[in-house]
Amino acid sequence: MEIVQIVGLGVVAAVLAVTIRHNKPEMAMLLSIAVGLILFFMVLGKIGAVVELLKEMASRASLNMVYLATVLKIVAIAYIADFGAQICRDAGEGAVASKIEFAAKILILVLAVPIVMALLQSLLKLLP
Amino acid sequence: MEQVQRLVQNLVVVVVLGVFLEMFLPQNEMRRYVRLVVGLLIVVAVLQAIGGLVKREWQEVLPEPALSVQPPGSAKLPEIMAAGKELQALQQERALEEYRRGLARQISALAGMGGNVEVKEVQVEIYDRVQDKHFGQIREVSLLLAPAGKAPPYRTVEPVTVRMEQPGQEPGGGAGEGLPPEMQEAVERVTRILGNFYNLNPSQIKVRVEMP
Repeated sequence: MEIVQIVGLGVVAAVLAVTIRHNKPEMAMLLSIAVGLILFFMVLGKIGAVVELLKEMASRASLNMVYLATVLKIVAIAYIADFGAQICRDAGEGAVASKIEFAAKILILVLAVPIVMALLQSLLKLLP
Repeated sequence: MEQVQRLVQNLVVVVVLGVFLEMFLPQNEMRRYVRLVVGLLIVVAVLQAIGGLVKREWQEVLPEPALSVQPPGSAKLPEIMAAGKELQALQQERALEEYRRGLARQISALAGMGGNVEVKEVQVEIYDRVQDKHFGQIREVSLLLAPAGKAPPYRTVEPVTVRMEQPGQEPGGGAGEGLPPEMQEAVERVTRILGNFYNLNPSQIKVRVEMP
């Protein structure tokens, strides 16, 4: 039951962070970063199976693997940016969090350019 | 029909992929952007699946008007069809000839297996009309035999007709009456072997004997 371990770790970290936030706010922030990383690496191994499934479905749909890789990168960017922005907000740095989210949006749109081009080419192909 | 089936299969997989990717998205402000990209990807996949089919159909349709205009020097369709039928008839004739030759070689080898007769000539007639229900079967076999080891000159005798006699029936006289007994026996043996092997009536096997 990994979920029990994950929830237990999260609750304990939250209690500790609340306890030490008044005296050592910087330590509370480091604690939340550490716990977040630990939780992320705990479930990282499980993502591989999901990605394999997505790849198989994409190949069945005759979809170019480059597009799927792009989408997965975009999803990863979104998660990482969210993780960083929340930590910044917890630290009281809302401005930095907004900048992180802005950078993530730009990166997502840049990565989407090949897909937009592919969409355009597909539409042009349909025309006689 | 097969292309449409493949298209539908691709679309189903793309829809399932889209739903799966939707579940994968983060629950925050980024979600809108990621949904946009995932939606674009699904549209691309659908367009690729449909585009291949539509383009193929156009390629099948577009050359049609071009066919109505005959390029100079090109043959008309009836001429092409006639040439094709002629070629088919020629190939069938060659195949039958090859089959006839193969049968003749096989019959020659079968008839000469005993060693006491030499097969000088074999002619095979087959049912060569396609409409015939016996098409490809043997109509008649003509053999020219000679005693083995005898040197020319030969004397050709009248055709020998071999009849299968019923038990108790008196052996009647035939065209092969003038043959020596060993030759008569060899002719009967050849006729029996060929009849059994190819499922032929004795009347379909004509044997001539050359006597020195």
